[in-house]
Amino acid sequence: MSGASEGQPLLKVEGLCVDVSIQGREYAALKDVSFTVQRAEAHGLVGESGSGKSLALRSLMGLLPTNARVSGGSAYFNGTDLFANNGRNFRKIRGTGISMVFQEPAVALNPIARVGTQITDGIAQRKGLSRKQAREYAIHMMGLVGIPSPELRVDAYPFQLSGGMRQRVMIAASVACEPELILCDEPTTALDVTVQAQVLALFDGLRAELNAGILYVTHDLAVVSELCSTISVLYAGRLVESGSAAEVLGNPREDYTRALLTATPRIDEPGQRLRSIPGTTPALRDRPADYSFAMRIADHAPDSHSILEEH
Amino acid sequence: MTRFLVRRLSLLALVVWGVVTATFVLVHATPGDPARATLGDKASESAVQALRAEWGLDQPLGAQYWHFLTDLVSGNLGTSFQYRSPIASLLAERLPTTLLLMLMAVTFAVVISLPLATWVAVRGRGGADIGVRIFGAVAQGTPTFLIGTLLVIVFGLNLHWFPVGGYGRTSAEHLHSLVLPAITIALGIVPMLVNSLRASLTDALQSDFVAFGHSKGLKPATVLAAYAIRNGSISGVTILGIQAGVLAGGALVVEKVFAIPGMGSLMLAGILGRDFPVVQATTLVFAGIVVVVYLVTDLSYALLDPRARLA
Repeated sequence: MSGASEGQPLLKVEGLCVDVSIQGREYAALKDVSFTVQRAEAHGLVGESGSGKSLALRSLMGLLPTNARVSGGSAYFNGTDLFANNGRNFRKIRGTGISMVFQEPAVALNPIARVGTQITDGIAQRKGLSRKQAREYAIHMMGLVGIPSPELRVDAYPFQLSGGMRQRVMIAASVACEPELILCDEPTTALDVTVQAQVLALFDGLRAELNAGILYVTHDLAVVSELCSTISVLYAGRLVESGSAAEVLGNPREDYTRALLTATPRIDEPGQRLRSIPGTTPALRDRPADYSFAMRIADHAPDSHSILEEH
Repeated sequence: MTRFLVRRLSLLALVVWGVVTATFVLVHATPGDPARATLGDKASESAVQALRAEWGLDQPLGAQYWHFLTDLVSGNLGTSFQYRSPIASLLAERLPTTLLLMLMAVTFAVVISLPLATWVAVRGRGGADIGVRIFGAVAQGTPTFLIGTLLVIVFGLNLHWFPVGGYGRTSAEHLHSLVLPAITIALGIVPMLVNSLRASLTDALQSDFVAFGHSKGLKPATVLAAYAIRNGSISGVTILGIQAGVLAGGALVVEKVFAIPGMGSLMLAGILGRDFPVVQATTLVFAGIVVVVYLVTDLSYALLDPRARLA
């Protein structure tokens, strides 16, 4: 990528604001969110459903849904302003610069195209690969992401593969152009725990091998602690806490982070009742613009004692 | 696949038998005597009776039905009362014209609908959407003969782009004179086709697999064609198949309006002249066309959607 210089962060997001319009009214779904991702670093963007984490990810890809738009802030990838040039910069960096792994491979893979084609169509178009070259490259990539006997599966359709295999196909497709930054939108949610661990190991390997940055969106702190070295915690569209994973997870400063941690089931405390955070994040249209976690706790005061006072 | 075909073909035979029987009953229940219609009001009663005996119309209905069915099974469609020639040769003359007309109508319907639906789906809600909806409602609500007459007035009488009627002598003239009739039939199908295509294309465009296609850095045109339209057009095939009846009915009316010597005008002449064998044979052929179109529709799913083919 041109313009890459040492010392400059791979991705620098500053003051990102995303508005969502619902029935003609605009709501601020992301407010003043800033974070950076370095090369060869996995950064976790953590939050519950409704925190805006997926919107943040999609805004960096220029793939926001039609009712959402970036209303403020900037995002620099290798020094290139992603939001400038009327969105045309995205076309240049998608695939080779930034790629994305989606949450549900069952719906994110084209149901009527062969998986091999889907892995290589991006790079084949860019480099003008022949059909045969593309097929060989697809087999190579499928082997790389741990799909057994790729030569037998390269011509399969997504519905013929298991969920874990489909997610590997998606990962193979997203790294086929050797991107510098991989955006992951809860890619292990649809997978069972053993496959989840394998996929995480795969990401960690890719990070080290490709020297790629990873921006990993999830609600699962266990996943974050395994993969990420730095973390940003989002709540209701705002950044509540960020720092190194060890710092944030080991010594959370914010009530919300603490509550999230307490709500994570632990294998070393068998027999413990599952604890949850009282209430949910209200939908965009149902919450005040300055909505905070303290307000949610206040709303659910009777049942919220336990989780906050245990610490 | 073989079992599917056998089942469908036996169903086809059953449907054709039902249509043939219903036509037989209707034709014989309709007032009017073919012999009287052929010989005219001034012919003597004895001459009429002689002709009735020659055509077998003096026999009991059950016997006539039995003769008709056994002849049909042995491939004998009978002889036309009016034209005094075997119906098989009449059909051989007329059928290709109607098939060409229907084929052109389907082609025009697709050529008009697909770009229109794609344009509206890409543009989203707004002027284009409303415009196409209004056009659809008007086209849907206007009777075929009126559309045909309007097209004749504008493109035939005023602009002289196409002949007002008739079929010409050479192949080029045939094609040229079928353009307006085919567009007339197509406009009867277009509204439903556009509506269904627009809905499925809109869904496809908002799907994760289209976002995934973009995330790989594919050209927007490639994503539109290979990801959105290929998935979104499958529903259009269903609509086209369902409209086979409309197509056949359209051919009937349009051939009359444009004086095209096809199956439709043959059938109408048969009905007006109480030409039982012609009415029965043409109904049989139209029913056959519709049933075959249904069969082809089902088979084309297998072509378009690997899930229907392999699952």
